[in-house]
Amino acid sequence: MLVVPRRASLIGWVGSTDHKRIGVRVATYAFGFFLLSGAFALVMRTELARPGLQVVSENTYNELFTMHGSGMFFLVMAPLALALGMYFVPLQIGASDIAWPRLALIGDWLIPLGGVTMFSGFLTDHGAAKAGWTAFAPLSDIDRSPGYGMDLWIFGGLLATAGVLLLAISVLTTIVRFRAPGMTMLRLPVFTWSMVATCLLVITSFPALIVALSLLFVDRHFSGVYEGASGPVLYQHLFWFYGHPVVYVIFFPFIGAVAEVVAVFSRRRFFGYHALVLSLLVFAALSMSVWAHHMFATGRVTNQYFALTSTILLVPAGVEYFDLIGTMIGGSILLSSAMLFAVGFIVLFLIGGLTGIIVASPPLDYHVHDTYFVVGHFHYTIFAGSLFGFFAAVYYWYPKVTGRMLRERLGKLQFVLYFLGANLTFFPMLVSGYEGMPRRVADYENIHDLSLMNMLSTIGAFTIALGTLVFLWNLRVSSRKPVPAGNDPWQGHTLEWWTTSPPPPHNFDSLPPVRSYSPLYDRRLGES
Amino acid sequence: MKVALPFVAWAALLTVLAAVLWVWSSDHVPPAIFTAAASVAWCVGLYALLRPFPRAVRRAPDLSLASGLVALAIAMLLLSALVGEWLLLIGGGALVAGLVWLARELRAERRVR
Ligand SMILES: [Cu+2]
Repeated sequence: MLVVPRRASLIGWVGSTDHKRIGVRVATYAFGFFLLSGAFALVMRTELARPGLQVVSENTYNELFTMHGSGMFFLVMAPLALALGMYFVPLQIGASDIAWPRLALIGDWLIPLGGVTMFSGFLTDHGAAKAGWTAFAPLSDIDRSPGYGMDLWIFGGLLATAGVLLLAISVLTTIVRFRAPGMTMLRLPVFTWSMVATCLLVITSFPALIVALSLLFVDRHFSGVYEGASGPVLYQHLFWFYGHPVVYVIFFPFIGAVAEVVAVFSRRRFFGYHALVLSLLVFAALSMSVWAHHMFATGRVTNQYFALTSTILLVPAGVEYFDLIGTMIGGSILLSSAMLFAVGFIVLFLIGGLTGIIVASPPLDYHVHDTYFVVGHFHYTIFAGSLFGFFAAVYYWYPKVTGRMLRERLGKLQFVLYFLGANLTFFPMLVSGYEGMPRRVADYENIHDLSLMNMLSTIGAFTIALGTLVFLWNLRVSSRKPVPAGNDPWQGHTLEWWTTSPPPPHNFDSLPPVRSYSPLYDRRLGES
Repeated sequence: MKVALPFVAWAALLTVLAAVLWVWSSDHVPPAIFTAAASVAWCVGLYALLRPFPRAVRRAPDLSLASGLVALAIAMLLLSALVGEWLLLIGGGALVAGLVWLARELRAERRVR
């Protein structure tokens, strides 16, 4: 048997195929890109605090919003989603290793290489890419986006997307092939099921972006693939075929983590397991069929089909909410930091979902298309939703990963700052967008409530930044004065809590019998 | 079959949704993209069907520097399109070296097992 040398060498850090190290590594640099892309958002909010140009030029502003969005999607949220799966799926299913660890390791390294490539655009003559994270043709063509920045953006996007794709292939194959004895598909923990849906989406939708971006490079340097009347529409089809599902890629893992947190901190078995599994699969399939709702305003798509499928998404989403709330009802709820973030996720994602119904309806979408309403809507889903879910996962699983507890008080302080900050930032965007403020502008006129709404958003953004500092402080405090976590500080339900914290390289010395999706909960029931 | 069921069902669901779009859409591009994705989903389903999970492979993780080299080589090959031919040569060399090294790692691992 091959065993990783125990010494924490640099070689071990960069070259270990241990899924736990891969997971931590991906999460670490994704968090680094989060801080960087978040800092860009702060500069933008400072610029927008008052009408007129104060801080940056329009050109720089274009670079900032492009790199903020690209960073958050390609280098932060999608990698974080897969990092969680990489670390916890093998533990939850009782596996000692992942499938195709070397493939996963290649993916692991492609992501930061992509990130460095993308951000190195700032060092080139024309600056970084400035065609938005969507890089729509013809805005991204060689005439309108000259210079290497756009090309580096394309290559960065390709590398990072390919990296996430490889991680997903490894995680999904692990689930198919490496489950412990007794761990049937209908005994997979809820989080692992959410990763099944996630990986399916990645594997079927991410190739579309790889095609779109490769063709964009060809378009820029060889022949005009996206020229003519139908070219830009073709690009949008390819892009959004990835661009909508990716939103679910960065949603499912976090709702899976939230489901685990809600069950554990309600001291109940997860309610409605089978309905959740079914709804996840239907949700994932439907979310592959809605991409052109981003293109209603092009007038070139079958609006009825895409509006219909987009609206049907409400049904599986409703099932998931029903299950989450059903788990809490009748449970003895412990409001830990993890649980607070989970509840925050459930509440705030609802606002994201409900504003989503508005933009899923073509006539309403025409009114708010390309305005701050859309920006507010998707930040409610991605920041106030998914990122809250990520922090629920962090507060829940950090003890397992490090063997140390995070400080609860600091966690609650972070939650309060994030909750206030998120609403203060993104709710005014819904108002200003409805009043007609276009997105992707460095300046705006002082009409209606735009000044007030923008000032509120800016204050909110800095409140979020303060919350992030509290989190970093929490990390520091917990590593300086460690409080040992033990194997199972929360009385968890799933197998990861059976082994030591942190787990040994081979994960488990022994495994308990698996007779349901919550084997440790069964065991405690048997004991009492 | 049990393992493959959710994957096959998922691929079937995509196929149905794509079929509806073929009927509904006058433009062929959207349903064609969707059909391509559905066929990828069928490949996943087929894999799950044909490769039932092996009897517990208990193996511990390993070190692989070759994987990092392959990743670096891929990045270099892409960037050579901007930087020039010299990077294409270095990247190509690194890729070949990385793949050979990777093969040796895998062979060593198999021998130990
Ligand atoms: Cu969408």
